[in-house]
Amino acid sequence: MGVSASRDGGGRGGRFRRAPASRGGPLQKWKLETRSASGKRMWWYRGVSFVTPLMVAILALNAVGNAPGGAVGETIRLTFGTRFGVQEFTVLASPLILTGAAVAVGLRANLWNVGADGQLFAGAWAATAVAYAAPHLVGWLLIPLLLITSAVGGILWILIPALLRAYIGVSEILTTLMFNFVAYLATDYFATGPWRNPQSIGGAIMSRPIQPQAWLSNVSPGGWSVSVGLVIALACVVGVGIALRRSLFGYRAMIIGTSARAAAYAGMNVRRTTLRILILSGAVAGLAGGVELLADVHSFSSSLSNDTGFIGIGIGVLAGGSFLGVSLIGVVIAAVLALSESAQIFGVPSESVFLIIGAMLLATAMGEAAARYRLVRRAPSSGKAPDCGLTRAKDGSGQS
Amino acid sequence: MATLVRAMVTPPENASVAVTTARDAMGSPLARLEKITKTFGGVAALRGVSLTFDVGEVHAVLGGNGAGKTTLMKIMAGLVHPDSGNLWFGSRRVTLRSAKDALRFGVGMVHQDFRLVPQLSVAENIHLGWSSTPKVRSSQTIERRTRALLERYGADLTPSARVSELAVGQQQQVAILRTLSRDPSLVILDEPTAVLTPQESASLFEMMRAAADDGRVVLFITHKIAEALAVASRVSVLRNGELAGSWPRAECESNRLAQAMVGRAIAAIRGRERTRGAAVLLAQCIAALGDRGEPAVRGVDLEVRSGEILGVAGISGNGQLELAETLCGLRPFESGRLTVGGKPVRSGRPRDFIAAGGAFIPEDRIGVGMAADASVEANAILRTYESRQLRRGPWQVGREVSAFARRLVADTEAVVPSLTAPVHQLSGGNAQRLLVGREIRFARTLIVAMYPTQGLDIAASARVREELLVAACRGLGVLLISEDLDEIYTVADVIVVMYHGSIVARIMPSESRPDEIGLLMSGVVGAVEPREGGAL
Repeated sequence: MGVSASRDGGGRGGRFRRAPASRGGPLQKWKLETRSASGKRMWWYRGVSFVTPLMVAILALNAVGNAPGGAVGETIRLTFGTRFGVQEFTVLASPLILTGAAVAVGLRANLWNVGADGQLFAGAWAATAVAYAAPHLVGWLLIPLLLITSAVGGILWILIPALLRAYIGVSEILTTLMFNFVAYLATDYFATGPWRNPQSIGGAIMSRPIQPQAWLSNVSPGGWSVSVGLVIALACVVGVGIALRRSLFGYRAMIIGTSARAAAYAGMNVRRTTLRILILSGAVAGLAGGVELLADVHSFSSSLSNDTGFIGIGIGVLAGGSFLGVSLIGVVIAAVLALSESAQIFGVPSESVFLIIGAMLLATAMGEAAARYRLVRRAPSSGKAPDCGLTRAKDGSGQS
Repeated sequence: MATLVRAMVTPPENASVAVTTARDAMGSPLARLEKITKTFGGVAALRGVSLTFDVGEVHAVLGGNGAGKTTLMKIMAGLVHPDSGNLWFGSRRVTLRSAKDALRFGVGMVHQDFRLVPQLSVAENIHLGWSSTPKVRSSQTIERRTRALLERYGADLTPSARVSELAVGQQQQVAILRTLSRDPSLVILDEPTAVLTPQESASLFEMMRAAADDGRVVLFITHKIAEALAVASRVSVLRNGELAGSWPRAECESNRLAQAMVGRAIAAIRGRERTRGAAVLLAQCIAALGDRGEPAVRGVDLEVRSGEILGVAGISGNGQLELAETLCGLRPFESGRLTVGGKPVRSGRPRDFIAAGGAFIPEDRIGVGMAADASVEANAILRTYESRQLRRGPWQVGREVSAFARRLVADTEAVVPSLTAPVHQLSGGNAQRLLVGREIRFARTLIVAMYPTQGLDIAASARVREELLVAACRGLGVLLISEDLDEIYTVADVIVVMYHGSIVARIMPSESRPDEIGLLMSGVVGAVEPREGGAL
């Protein structure tokens, strides 16, 4: 456990080499002790380690930005201080929250849906297809229909991995991952082939836009513009979170995730619950595609997802089973993405955002580990008689 | 010879004050624990324990699971720091901050897992990481030094032999010799006989006595009374973190120690009136495959009536696990018919078994009987989570679930840090209390109990047996699968012997002796044709 914990007399310092004198280096004076990771401390550590890389990035941005002095302030103002910025930020947050929730749903039963990206495309594909098929349907009917369709699309995309997992035991990690690539290629085919918008050219080829009555508008609390997609995403996360925490289904999923044998022992239908959890996960990921299509892009193309499904894995894992956590982390990561878009004005490459997000996820994982330990200073080994202690230490040092 | 070897194996800088004085003063106190208290996560592991270790004694610390033996030992070895209380070496009060500190005070520890390097030889392992090892490595030198050490302690080992080629008992000897070669004044042995044959144990005890005769203290941690009596010159008993007593060997007898460990006399419910009713388990010619597809259960017929305890004796690995899993629906059967509580149980359908009022105490408690990472609360309701009391439609009623779990914990007297703590944090004994309590409360017709007291101390074992007997008095049928013949004789009304996937004998405990059953279990005596045409 400890930095310099030694368990017994032998074994350290290589074969037949004299062990270094005790209480020498700094590592000898400090050591790590394990401690229980209470929920409160865990969230505190997570929060600090999540935000620290962001702060570093902001400082770095200030240093490299072309705008003299005000790069950071201007970026933040553009992102959160303008109507357009807030709208863009909320649009970015919704699919991230949904893919994060999709991953978190699977993790409830210890299942890893790493194919949220593919399911997102499948959901958007299905919604686009239905939108094309019903060009004259009124908006209040069309929008719910398309959202449901997108969830069904996500379900269809996860169905084969889910069946393989539930009935044959094929690792869902591999299959859901592989289905992403199928989805990418299918997306390229439809966006550049049958559904192509003739006006789109070059690297931005996309499908014909869906009809405007299917577009999700924004709500405007207090003069700001917030995407309805965010409202849908949050409602979905709250609903799924409550369902998994409070229902018998959620309980079964949790027991299966912990021990499939204990679940069978309790008379649970492991296959059915596994299947249902993965289907729910796929539905939420598919909905992310629908929301992205209806609220933001309005056309089917490979630009629907900017690794949204993969960032969702990080969000789902970091949230540690909390759906409130999924929402919060999703919002913060969306904020970083939005900031980076604004920061492009100052010559900051847009790819750098993945560096920042990667650093945030990494730091949070480290923070979680750190929350379980504490650094303590070693006290001298003798209490009342320091003289004896030192003498003994010298005498016995060869033993260690 | 002894003195010569000591001079050879003892590094000069290592001639610590305590050991030198110790040799002159056999019987004087070497180390003393004063009111040591240690709490883990709200559960007290040790409460105000005071003990004295005298030079030249083999001091056995006896106690059941969770009595605090391991914590006590870790405190002596500097691996755990007490919350309060003092540790004295001679007349000095000391604070051990690490295992290294403990080594400086001459505490040597032999771990249960030995911590040897299997690729190295006996001599190399003993000299590994030791300051008195010659800087220029010469295999002759260290082998000569090792040979002297082996002779001193009467160990029959070859210094040049590779550790990976040694038997477990020999590896342990190497681990002990490695510790002794550092010339500790206090040697701690943590449950050292767990992996040994009786012969190996006997030679271990000789080695322990030899070490004590050299003027050391040998601290022997064990839960077996017989072993403590065989080797110790003083026996201290821990119970629930408190010192139940400490006596010189002459004042010890096994009853007294057992009572000190258990804390109360074991109740005899056995004699209580019981009524035998209809069959609650009827297995007819059940055959099932093992995990590797081999036939594991070969046409077993069983009948357990309500109010009856049927003991299944057998050496583990003769199909008992597969039989138990098949009866409980966890393993499909290839042929045969199965009825529990008068209702048919279909092959591989645990729900049928549960619906028929059957309960199962599996061998693998945390993994099958409980979900390790799930909370105490979630595991408490594992059998009853679908009951009307705990749910409204598809929703769990959190308040009712907590109340149910709290009641179960209180009834079983299991010590848990909290209802939300994962069960893998519980000690084996507490987890088993919860599991057994849950299953016995859930059962309405039949309890299948597999090795229900394995790994439990005397008190916990007695409790489980009592609970099974009480369940039978309540009119449940009990199928008790056990390797422990004493256990089967204590509780079972009828005994069947399982060998190689078949029931080879059906015996009334009053009409046979354990050694006869032992022969049947080992297959030495051929199969006795089950009476009454196979239907038992």
